[in-house]
Amino acid sequence: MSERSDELRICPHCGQENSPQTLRCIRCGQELEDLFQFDGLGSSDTQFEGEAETPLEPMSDLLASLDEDPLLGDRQDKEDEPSGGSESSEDEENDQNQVGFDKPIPDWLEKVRQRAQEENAGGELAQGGQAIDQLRSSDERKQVDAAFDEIMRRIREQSEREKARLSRRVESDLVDENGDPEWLRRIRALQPRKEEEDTKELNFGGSSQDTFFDDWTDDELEELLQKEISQYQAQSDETTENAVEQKETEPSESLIVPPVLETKEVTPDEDEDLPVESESLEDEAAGLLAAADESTPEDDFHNIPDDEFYEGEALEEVEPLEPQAFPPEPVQEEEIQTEDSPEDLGEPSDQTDSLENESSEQELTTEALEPEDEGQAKEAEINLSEVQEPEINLAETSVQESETESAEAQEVEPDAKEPEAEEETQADESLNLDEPVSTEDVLPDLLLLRDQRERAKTLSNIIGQEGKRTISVLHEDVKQNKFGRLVLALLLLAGIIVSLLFGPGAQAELPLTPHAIAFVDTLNTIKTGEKVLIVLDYQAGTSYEIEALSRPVLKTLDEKGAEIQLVTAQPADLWLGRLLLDAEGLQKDLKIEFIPGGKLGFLSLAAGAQPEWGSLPLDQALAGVGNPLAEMDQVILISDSAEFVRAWLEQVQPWNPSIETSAISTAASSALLLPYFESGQLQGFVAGIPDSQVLSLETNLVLNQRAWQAGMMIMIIILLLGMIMKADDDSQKKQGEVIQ
Amino acid sequence: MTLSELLYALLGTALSLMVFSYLLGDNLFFGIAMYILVGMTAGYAAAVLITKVILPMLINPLAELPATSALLGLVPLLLSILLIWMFFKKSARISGIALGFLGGVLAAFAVVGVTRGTLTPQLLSIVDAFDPALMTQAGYPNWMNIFSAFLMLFGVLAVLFVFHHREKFQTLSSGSQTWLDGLTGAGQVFIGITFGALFVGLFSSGLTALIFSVSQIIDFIKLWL
Amino acid sequence: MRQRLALITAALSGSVVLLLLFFQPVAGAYLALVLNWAIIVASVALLVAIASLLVTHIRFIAVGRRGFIYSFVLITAFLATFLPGLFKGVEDPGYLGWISAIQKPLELSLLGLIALVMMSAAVKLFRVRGWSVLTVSFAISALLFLFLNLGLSDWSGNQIFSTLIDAFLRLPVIGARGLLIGVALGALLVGFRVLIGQESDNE
Repeated sequence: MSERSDELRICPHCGQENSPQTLRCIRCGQELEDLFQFDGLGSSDTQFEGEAETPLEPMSDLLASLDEDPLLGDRQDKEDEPSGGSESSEDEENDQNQVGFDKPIPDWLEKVRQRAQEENAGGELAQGGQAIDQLRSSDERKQVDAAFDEIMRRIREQSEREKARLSRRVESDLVDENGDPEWLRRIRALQPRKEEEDTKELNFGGSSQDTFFDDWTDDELEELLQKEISQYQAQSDETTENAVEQKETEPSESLIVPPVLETKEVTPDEDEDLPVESESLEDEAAGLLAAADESTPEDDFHNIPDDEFYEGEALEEVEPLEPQAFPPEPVQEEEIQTEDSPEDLGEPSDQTDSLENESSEQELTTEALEPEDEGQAKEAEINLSEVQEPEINLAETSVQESETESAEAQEVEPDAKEPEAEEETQADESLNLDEPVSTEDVLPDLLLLRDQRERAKTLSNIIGQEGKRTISVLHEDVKQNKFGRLVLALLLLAGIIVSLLFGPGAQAELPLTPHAIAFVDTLNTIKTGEKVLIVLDYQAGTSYEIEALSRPVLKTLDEKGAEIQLVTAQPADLWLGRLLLDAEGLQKDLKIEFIPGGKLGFLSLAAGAQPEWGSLPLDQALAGVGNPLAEMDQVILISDSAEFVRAWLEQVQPWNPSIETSAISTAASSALLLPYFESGQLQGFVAGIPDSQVLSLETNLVLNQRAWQAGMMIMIIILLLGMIMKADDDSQKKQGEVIQ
Repeated sequence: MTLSELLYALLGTALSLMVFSYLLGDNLFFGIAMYILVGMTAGYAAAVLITKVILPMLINPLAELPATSALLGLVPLLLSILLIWMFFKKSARISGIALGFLGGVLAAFAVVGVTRGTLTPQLLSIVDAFDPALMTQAGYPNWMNIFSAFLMLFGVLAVLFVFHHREKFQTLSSGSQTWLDGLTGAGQVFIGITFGALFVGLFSSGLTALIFSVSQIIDFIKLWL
Repeated sequence: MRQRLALITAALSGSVVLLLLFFQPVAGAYLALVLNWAIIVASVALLVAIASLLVTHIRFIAVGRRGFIYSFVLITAFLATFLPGLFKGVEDPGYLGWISAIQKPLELSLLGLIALVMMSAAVKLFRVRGWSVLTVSFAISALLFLFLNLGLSDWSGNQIFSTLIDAFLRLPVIGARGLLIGVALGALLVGFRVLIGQESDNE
C-alpha cells in the first residue's frame, strides 16, 4: 500500500484518487498539500531503523494483558454502563476523540489507550480505538471481539517472531570503518559464502512486506469497518460525530503493518540454499514449536528470551505469513527517539511530531464530512485509510502489533483475502528480484547460523530417536567394524604370506641408533672372568624378538669367557631361558635361578643384609647359590617390559650404582627406555628387530625382511588411508551442509 | 623330525589358527585357545610358586623351630592364613591386615624408588643439559646443545602441563587462556611423537611375532606338500 | 572396619619400611626380613587368586552355566600343567617341552593378532579421534618411524639426513620423559597417601 500511496493521493474530503503531484483534489478541489508532508515522514528504511531499537516487552505485556482480561468475555454486559470513567482517564490529547462517547469502553481498549497515552505516541492509537468503539454496534462488536480472541493466539507467535527479528535489526545499522553494516560483518564471519543468498532472501522479505501492506488494508480492515460503520450509521443519531470518529479510526487501523516475510513464495530458483535448508528444517522446527505451543500456556510465550530464538523460529519467519495487523505501539517511536541519533533514525522525532500535527489537521479537515449514505461513508473511510498510509510507513515500527489487527481482519473474511494477497505478494517479489539487493532490508534473523542449525538438528534427532531402538544400530556398526577389520587383517596376512613365499629379500638398511651403539660398546668392555648377571623377564609372545637379540649377546659373552649368572622372577622364563640356552648350545651347565617375589626379591637381594640371628627365608629358596647380585660387574636385563626395567632401575640399581646396567628389550619398549639411556641409568639397550643390525646380525636371517617391509608398507598405506578417509568424510559433511 | 616334535608342531599350528580365527569374530576356537593359555599359565605359576616359594620359604623353615629364624617365619605364616581365611570368608575384617601390610611395604618402596630411580635422575638430566661445559665448544656457543637443552625443558614442562591441567583446561574459558592453549598444544605434539614411536614399536613387535607365526604355519604346511 | 584395619596396617608397615630404609645399612637385616615376609605374603596372595579363579570356574561347571565348556577347558589345562609340574618338577625337560609347545605358539599368535588389530585401529584413528594436534603429530611421527623401519636406504652416508634422523629419533625422549615424570609424581602421591592412611579407596 505504501507503493500505491506513493502513486496516488486520496483526497480526505471526497476520497478521490489524485496523482502524487496534484496539490488539489481534482474532484472537490480540496487542498492536498498536507499529504505531501506525510509522504516525507516515513521512509520504510528509517522506520525500520527505529523499530530495531524498540524494546519489545511492552507489546508483549500488552498482548498478555489483553488476553488475560476477563472483561473481554463480558464486554456485552458492560456495554450498558456509562463510559464516563473512560473519558475521565483520557488526557488532553485524546479529549477530542472522546467527544460524544456515550458507549462503554472495553478494558482492553482502555489499556491500549492508556498505553498509548503513557508512551506519548501522539494519541493515534487511543483515537483509533475510540473510533472503532464508536462504530461498533453491540452485535457486531461481540462478533469482532470473539474473532479477536481467537486470532490472538496466532498473533502472539508471529508478533514474537517479529520482535526477535526486529530486535536484531538494530545491529544492521552499526557501520564499521569500511562502510559495512554489522549484519554484513556477521554474515561474513559466520557464513561468508551465503552472503549473497542471504541478502537476496532478505530482499524478498522486504518486497513481501510491502505486499502485505497493501493486502490487508484493502481487504481486511475495510470489510470490518464497512460492517461496523454501516451498522453504526443505521443506529446512530450523531452521524457527523461518528464520521469524524471513523476518520480517526482509519488512521489508527491503517497503521497496521502486515507481516514482513513470505519467503515460502520464494522459488528455489530465486534462492537455492536457504529455501532448501528451510524445507529440511522446517518440519523439525515446526514440530518443536508445535509441541511447545501445546504445552505452553498462551500467556507464557513472552518468557522466551529473544536470544533463544532458534532457527525453527527463524524458519517460521520464512513461511508464508497471513496478513495480520495490530494497532501500533507508540512507545516504540518514543524509544527510537531516545536511543538513536537523529541521523540514523531519519529524525523520527520530527516525524512523530509532524504525524501528530497531520492527524489533528486531518481531523479538522474531515470534521465537516457528513456521509450521505452508507456507500459514501464507506468510500470516505476507505479513502481515509489510504490517505493515512504515510502514517503506516512511520508506524511500521510496531509490526507485531499490526499483525494482530491484520489477523483480526483476516479472520473476518479469510477466504476472500488470501488468494489476492498471495498474488500480490508474488507479483511484488518477482519485481523485487530484479531490483538491486538492498542491504538495508536485510533481516539478520534469516541468517541461519551453523550452530543454530546443528542445535536444531540435534534436537530433531533426539525427538526422532524417541522410542526407537538403538542397540540394533550399534550391532550394525560392530558388524561393519568386524568386516573392515577382517579385510585389513587379510590384507596384511596376504602381504606377509606372499613375501614369505618369495624368500627372505634383501638386507634392510635400518638406522643405527645411539642406544644400540652404546649397548654394543658396553658389551665390548666386558673382559674375561667378569661376572655378568643376566636377568630374564620376558614372555613367550615376545620370545622370538627377544631371543633374536639375546642369542648373539650370549654368544659374545661366552666367547669372551665371562661368568654368566641367569636369574628370573618370571615362572615362564624358567622354560624360556632353558630353551634359549639349549638352542644356542652355550654353557650348558648354566642354571636359571628363580627369584621369588619379583622386584621385591631383587630388592631384598640388593638392599638386604645377612641377619645375625640366622638365615632368611629367601636364603632357603636360593640354597647353594648365594646372593646372585653380589660382586657383579655388569647386569644385562633381557625384558620385554619397560616397566620391569624401570622397576629395576628404581629399586635395585640405586643400591649398587657401580654396576653397569644395559638392556635387551622389544621395539615396543624402546621409546620408554630412551629417557633412562639419556640420563645415564642405562648404559645402552637394543630394542627389537630394528636394532639387530648393530649386533652384526644379518636381519634377513633374523626375520624375513621382505615380509617385514611389506608389513611396514601396508601400515603406512593404512595410516594414510585413514587420514584420507577422514578428510573425505569431512569434505562430504561440508558439502552436505552447503547443500542443506 | 621326531614324533613328539611333529605333534608339537601340529599342536602349535592348530593353536595359532585358533587364535587367528578371532578375525572372524569371538568364536569357540578362539575362546578355547584363550582358556587353555590361562589355565596353563595359572597351573605352571601355581606349581612354581608352591615348589619355589611356599615350600622353601614358608613351610621348610618351620622344621627348625624353635630357632629364631623359624619363629620369625611364623609372622608370614600368620599373614598367609589371614589371606586364606579371606578366601573362605571375603568379609573377614582381619584379613585386611595381610593386604595392608603388603600395600604399605610396596608403597614405601615405591616412594623411595620413584624418587631415587626416576624423579631425581630425570630431573637432573634436564638440568645437566644446561651445564656450561656443554653449552660451549671451543669457546663458542654450542647452539645445538643449547637448543636441545631448552627444547627438552620446554617439552617436558608442556607434557606435564597437559596431563596435570587437562581437566582444568576444560573448565577454563578459551578466550583468556591462549597461552595455556599454546602450551597444551606443544605438549600434545611431544606426546603425539612419543605415542607414534610407541605405536610403531608395538606394531614392530606384533609384526615380528606375526611373521614368525605365519612362517611356522607355512613351514608346517610345507612338511606335507 | 576391615578397611580401617588395612589402612592402619599399611601406614604402620610402610612407615617401618621407610625408617629401615633411612637407617641403611644398619637396619639392612631387618629390611631384608620385612621384604621376605612381603615376598611370602605376595606369593600366597597370588596362590589365593589362582584358587579363587579355579573355584569360580568349578562352580560354573557345577551349575552348568552358559559357556561352561570354557571353564572345563581352563580346569583341564590347569590340572594338566599343575599336576605334572608338582610331581615331576617345574624344570623337567619333558615338562618344559610340553609347556613351550602350547604356550609359545599361543602367545606368539596373540601378539601377532595385535598387529592385525592395529591395522583397523590405524584406519579408525582419525575417524574416531578427529583432527587434533595430538593425532596429527602422532600420525606424522608414526609415518616417519614406519618409513625408517622400512630400511629402504642407508641414510648414514648423507650427513644432513643422518643428523636429521638422529634428531628425530631423539624426539620421543621429550614426551617419554614427561610421561615418566608424571607417572612418578602420581606414584609418589599415591604412596604418600597410603603411608599417611588417606588412601581410603584402596584396601
